[in-house]
Order: sequence, then structure tokens, then C-alpha cells
Amino acid sequence: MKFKIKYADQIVGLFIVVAIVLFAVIVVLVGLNQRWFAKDYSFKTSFPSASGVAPGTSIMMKGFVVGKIDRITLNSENSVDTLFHIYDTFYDKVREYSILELTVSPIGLGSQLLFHPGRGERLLEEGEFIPTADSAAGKAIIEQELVEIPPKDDTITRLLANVNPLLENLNKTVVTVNRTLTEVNRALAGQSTGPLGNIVNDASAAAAQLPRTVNRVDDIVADVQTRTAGLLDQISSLLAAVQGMTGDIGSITSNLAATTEAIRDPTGLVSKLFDPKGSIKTFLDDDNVLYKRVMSIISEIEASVRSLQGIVTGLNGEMPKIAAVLNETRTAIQQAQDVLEGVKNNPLIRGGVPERATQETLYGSMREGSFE
Amino acid sequence: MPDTNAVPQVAIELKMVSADSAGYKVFRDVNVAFPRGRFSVVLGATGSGKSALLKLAAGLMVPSGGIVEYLGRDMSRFTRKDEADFRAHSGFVFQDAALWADTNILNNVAMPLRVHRPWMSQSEIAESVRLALKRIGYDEGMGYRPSDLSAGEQKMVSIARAIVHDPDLIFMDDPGSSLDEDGLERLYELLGELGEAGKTVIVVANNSEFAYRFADMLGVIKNETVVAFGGYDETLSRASVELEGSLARLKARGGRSRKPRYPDSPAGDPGSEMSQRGDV
Amino acid sequence: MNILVLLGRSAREKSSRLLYGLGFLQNVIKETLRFFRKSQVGYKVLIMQILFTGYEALTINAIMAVSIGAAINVIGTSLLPQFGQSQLMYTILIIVITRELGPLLTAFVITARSGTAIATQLGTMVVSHEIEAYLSVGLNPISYLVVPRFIGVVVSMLVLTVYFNLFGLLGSFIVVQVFNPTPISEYLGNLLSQLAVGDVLWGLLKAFVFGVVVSVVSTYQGFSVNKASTEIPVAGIRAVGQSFILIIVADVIITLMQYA
Repeated sequence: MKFKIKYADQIVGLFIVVAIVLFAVIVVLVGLNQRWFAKDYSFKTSFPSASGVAPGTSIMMKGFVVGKIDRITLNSENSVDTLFHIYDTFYDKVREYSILELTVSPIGLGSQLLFHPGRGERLLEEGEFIPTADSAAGKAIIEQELVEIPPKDDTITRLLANVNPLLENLNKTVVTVNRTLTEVNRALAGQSTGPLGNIVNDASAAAAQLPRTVNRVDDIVADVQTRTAGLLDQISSLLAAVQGMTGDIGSITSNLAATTEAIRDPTGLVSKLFDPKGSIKTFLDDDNVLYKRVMSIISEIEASVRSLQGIVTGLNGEMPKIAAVLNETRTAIQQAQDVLEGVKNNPLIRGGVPERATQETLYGSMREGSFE
Repeated sequence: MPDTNAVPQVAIELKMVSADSAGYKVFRDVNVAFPRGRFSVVLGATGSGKSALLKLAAGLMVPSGGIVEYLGRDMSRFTRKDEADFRAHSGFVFQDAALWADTNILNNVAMPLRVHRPWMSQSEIAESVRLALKRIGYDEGMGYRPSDLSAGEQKMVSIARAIVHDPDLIFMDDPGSSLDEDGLERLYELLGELGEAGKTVIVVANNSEFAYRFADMLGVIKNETVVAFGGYDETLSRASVELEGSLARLKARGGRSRKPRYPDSPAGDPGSEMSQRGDV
Repeated sequence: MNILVLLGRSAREKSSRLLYGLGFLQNVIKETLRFFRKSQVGYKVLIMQILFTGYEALTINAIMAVSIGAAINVIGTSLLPQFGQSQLMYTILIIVITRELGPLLTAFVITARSGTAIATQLGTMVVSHEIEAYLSVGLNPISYLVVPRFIGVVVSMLVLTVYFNLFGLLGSFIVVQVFNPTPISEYLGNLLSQLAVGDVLWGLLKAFVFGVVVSVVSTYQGFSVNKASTEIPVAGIRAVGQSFILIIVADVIITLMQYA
């Protein structure tokens, strides 16, 4: 006690100084760890939407954090001006033709902002503009292969990226067909002033595009099949574990089969309209050229859908993630069915698409077991 | 009170002062003027509010009504500097020593010097403290804690603390309490010296001995107010109505043998009073 | 009717006491600023206050910090992986130690140790007229008695909170080694990447406010003693009770501010 009183000043001084020093050391360590003292290089870019690019979002390259988003502002042209920085240790990657790419996980696991280094020689100056992959400039760079884009490690993202535009094309074509049919319908009702031949020509021109689209579908589907085959090989062991899901898979498969059946049904749909013995025979006496064309298109669609069905069945057994993909696919098929439903509603057409059976998501049923 | 008016200067004056303590009235309408350079003694029975009066006069207690003036200036309007100045020139002896228990005798007595004369070195301070303690007759060590001392010794230290910085104005609350006979003798000696040196001394006591020995001015507290205050003889002669206790004893003791302390005072000074005292 | 009168009187007394308390606080702050302008005789009191409030409380503070840190570590490493969120352990450790329990427990320790001590000490001084004695020699009790205690408690709170952080975040690591050895580089790296200086500063802000609360309440209660020595323990109890309540209220307010 005497000692404490005698050296009170020294003890108290030490007590406080040690705390301050340790505090300072911690702050410096935190600062070093969080790169307060490192130089960052700022660049600009522009996104169509701010979703997934909040300030502080990490910019990744091959799994490394190479920088962060600093600030985003909505400009007068309704695109999002974005300021971001790249850490000094990665600055030598920021060469001409570098691009940014925002990838959104299809199954709700958030988004990733990727940096792809350009193949140019020149290092970009601070403050320069780096395009995003989905901008015109970005697409041009990618097409000219001026940028290193590693193969996506996420097969599902890749697969979906291919499937989505495919379905879009399919949709567009069917809508065109539908529109043409409406025109034909109007002509039959005597509402159209133009010569019917023109209209039918339009229709056939539109329909002529369909095989091309479907050819692309074939390519993509083949691609997807090879990819999925590889994937399936890797995880064939998982298949056994998900045998229990076969009930669900069966239901989906039958659903798909029904849809396919409806498309094939010779008594339904377009066949009635274009049959040589049909009501518009007199107007369309062209040796069933249009009819055959449309029929071939439909059979091609059918084949595509069957391919998809095969893929979907394989994917379904793979893992819960694939189930989500299946959902996406199912949505697409439902959209196609909607189109067909639209065709069916045309008064000129009898028969139609069978009623759709709703399908429980595998995802949900999986969870119920473990979270009860 | 013609006599008080005649005194050259007033050190402390209470004007219509009232005081409360814990909800009840201690004083009402007290009017007292303690003259400068004089020895004032206020007598009163135990519990009559003597301590409260002294604390009011010394600015240690805030009056609930009226004003207290130091050299003609309202103490409630003191600036920080005024306050420091007033404290530098005054000392206060508490009834119960009131030493700081957490430090030793040296630090206790040295405190006024440390506060008011920060330029003094440690050795100068220690020397001044030693002298002050010697004056009151304390001869124990300066390293003791107050709790190590007897009540009488604590009282001595407390008196030393009040005079160590040589103040002009000294308040003493019952300075003789708990002192032994030797201590009392030293105290009387000290009070005599203070009177000789022309200090303003205000003592409240329940012991008429202080009044008899030293009082230039004499006051009496009764019924929640100061019923009489004036020159020693005047108070004694005037106080026939309130004549009881201490005053009666003082009157019974008769005249005092004291030399006039204020030979060069202007007319109406206590010097003339002094000569009258023999007649009482 | 009678109850109304009683309620009214109690409300009036309470509000006047609150006003008095605020005036007291204002006075303390004013005198504190003055204290820093010119060093006073109160310096020694300040040193002793930090010695008592800060240094002597270091041991108990360290023990608490290490125990709580170790507990969080053990729980975190066994429970969180079940949710696949092992990384959250560091976040929880930082939130609990740095932002919440660090300042709060330190304040409780200081209240229990120094709050009672200050209140009873000042209460005793009032009863034995030592306060008046300070006044009589020209020392303002607020600047000489309250301010050094105020600064001493606040400084001790801040310093002890820093130590609590150190012991809680690093000391617990040593304890964890016994149960679940982790490489120090991994532990430190994770900790430092999760630790924002903002967390530490919010914690220190809390420590500062708690220090102000404890010191002002304790000195106020000490001075509220009037005459009898029986009032002294009552003042000590009131100091602890009021401090605890005000600390928790302040904690909630600051935490709300933080997330507002």
C-alpha cells in the first residue's frame, strides 16, 4: 500500500500510457488489415441498374478481392454512374479492354461483381472508364476477345445464360405466328383490305425464321447436354442419394409429356386451320405448303422440348440446386404453354392445351424435413 | 447602536439576515455589524444558532433572506476573484476541528498556504506550518493523521490552520472546546496576540471567559435572533432585560483591567468605552 | 384529493431535484474545463482517484473480460458451425466485448467499487464539516473534490474499457487454446478484418458517458448527505442504484443512436 501511494504518479502514468499505446497499436493493426494506408486506384463505370452494386461491394477476380465499389449515382440518362477502386497490388491487371461483369446467382445466393483484365498493353489511368460486360462497348470487347474471361465455374449460371435467350426467341416466334393467325382470322372475317396472299406470305416469312431459331436451340441444347453430362459424371454418386425424389421427377416428367402430347395432337391447334379439307381451303389452296411448314416447325419444337425434357430429368436427379434450374425451365415451358393457350383461344381453332398440373417445388419439400 | 456606527470601518455586516436549516428557521432578521480590527464575541446557549451565525458571517452558509457584506460588498455577488481574496484574508476555526481525515497534519495546516500562496516552496511551507503549530502549543509530529490525535490536539491543529496564512479576519467557533487547561492558556495567549496585532476576530462561544478577557464588542443570541450587539459595557448595561446566564455572570465579575487598545482611534472609539467599563 | 396533492408535491420535489442535479452537472462541467486550464491542488486527488478507480480495478476487469471472451469463443466455435456461420464468431465477439459488455461491465465494476466509495467518502466529509473546511480555505468543493473524481472516474472508465477490449479479444484467445487450439494468425486476421474502429469508438463513447454518469451521481449523492452519519450508507446505496439505472438507460440510448 505504501508503495502504491509513493509511486502513485508512476503507476497511474504507466496504467494510462500502456492503454493508449495498446489502443494505438490495435488501430494501426486494424488499419493495416483493412488497407487504410494502401493506395487505391479509382475508376468509373456505368451499370444499367444499381441492384447488386451497393457501395462497399467487393470486386472479385479469380476469387480474390481486387477492389470495392465506392459510390453510385443515378444519372440523367437513368443509368447508374459508379465509382470504384482497385487495390494497388492488383493495379497491374487493370489494362486496356478490361471489363466488369455483374453475375447474379440464379438460386438467390446473391451477386458477384467480377473484374476481367483486358489483353491490352497499356495500363489504364486512374479515373478512366471501364465498361461492363453487358454494355455495347463491353460486348464488343468480348466479341473481339480482347479480354480474358475465364470459363464460368458455375455450370448452372452458364446453362441458364444459354437457355434464357433460347426461350425468348421461341416465345417471340410463337407470338409472331399468333399475330399472323390473327391477321388471317381478320381476313377470313372480311375485315382485312389487303390481299390475303400478302398476309400469308408474312406468316410464312415469320415461320421461316423458326427453324433457324430452333437450330440454335439444338446447338445450345447439345452444348448443355455435354456440359450436364460432364457434371452428371462427376456427381453420379449423388444420384443414388436423391432417388427418393423420383416421385416428384415423375410428376414433372408426366407434366412435360402431357405438354408435348398437346403440341403433337393432330386434332388440335394449327392443323385444323391449315388442313386442306378445312374451312379456308378455298383461300389457301397451296398444296399444303404452309401447313407442312408449320407442322415441321411444330415437330421441331417438339423435338427441342423433348431434349429439354431429357436434360431436365437428368438435372433433377442431380441436386437441390438443379431443382431450382428445373423450376426456371418449367417457368419457361409454362410461358410457352401460355402462348399455345393464346393460340387455342383463337376462335378459328378447336381443341387446345390440356390443363396444367401444378408442381410442388423440390426445394421447399427438401427443407421441410430438416427445419421442422 | 451608536457605538458600532462610530467604529471606523465595518468588516462584516449582516443585514436583515434570515437562515433556514433542514426546513426550519434558525434566524430571522438578524442585524449585526462586526467592526474591523476589533475583537467581537457573541454568546449564546447551546443550540441557539451560534455556529450558524458564524457560518453566515463567513460565507459558509447561504442566507435564505437578507444580505451579508464584507467591507461593504454583498458576498452573494462575489466574483471568483473576490471570493479568493476574501478567503486569503480570513481563517475559520470549526467547533469540531473539521480536519481533513485523508491527509496528515502538515498537509492540513499547509492547505491555506498552498491555495493562496502557490509560490511558496515546500520547505517554506513546512516552516510556516511548524511556527503556526508552535504558537498554539501543538508539539506532536506533523506526519500524523488527524485520527491519530486527541480531540484537543485536533482543535489545536484546526486553530493553526486558521492562522497559518496570517489572515486579517479570523472566525472562531467555540475555540476553547476540548482544550485542556494548558491548551486554553496558549489559546488565550494567542487571542491576546491577535487582538494586539489589530486583527478582526469574531468568536462565538458559550463560555463567557472569552468575552471577559477579550471582547471589544459583545453580542447575545436568543430567540432566533441577535438580541443585543454593541460595545462590551453597553451590551452589559443594556441587557438588563435579557440578563441571564453568561451575561449575569459577566456582570457579576465586574470591571476588567485592560489597557485601552486603540489610543489613536477617532472619537467614539472603544477606547473611551474602555474607561467606562470600570464604572460598571 | 389527498393523493392528488401528494402526487403533485412529489412531482414538484422530483422536478426541482432534477433541476438541481442538472445544475450540479453543469457546474461540474464548468469547473472541469477550468481544471484543465490551470493545474490545481486537485492534481494529487486526481492521481489517487485514477489509482483507486482505474488501476486497482484492473484485475477484476481483466478476469471478467477474459472469462466472457473465452465463453463467447467456446460457444462460438461449437455452436455457430452448426449453422454454417463460424465466421460470425468474431462479429459476436466484437459486438459483445467492444460495444456492449465491455463498457457496461466496466461501469458496473466502477459503480460498485468507486461509486459507493465516492458517495460515502463525500458524505462523511459533509458530516465532519470537511467540506466547509475546504470552503473556508478558499477551495471550491466542486473543483477540488468533485472534478478530480469526475475526471478520474471518466479516465479510468476509458482506460479500463481499452483494457477490457484487449483482455476480452486477445486474452480469451489464450484460454481458447486449451480447449480448441487455433492458429494465432488466423484468429488475429479474422478479428482485425471484422473489427471496425467505429466499434471501438462507440464503445469508448459509452465508457465516457458511463463515467460521467457514475461520477456525477456518486458525488451528487455524497453531497446530498446533510448532517447525520446514518445518511451516509443511504447515500451510497442511492448512488449505486441511480448509477445502474442511468447507465442502462444511457446504454440503450447510445445503442439506438448507433443503429438509427
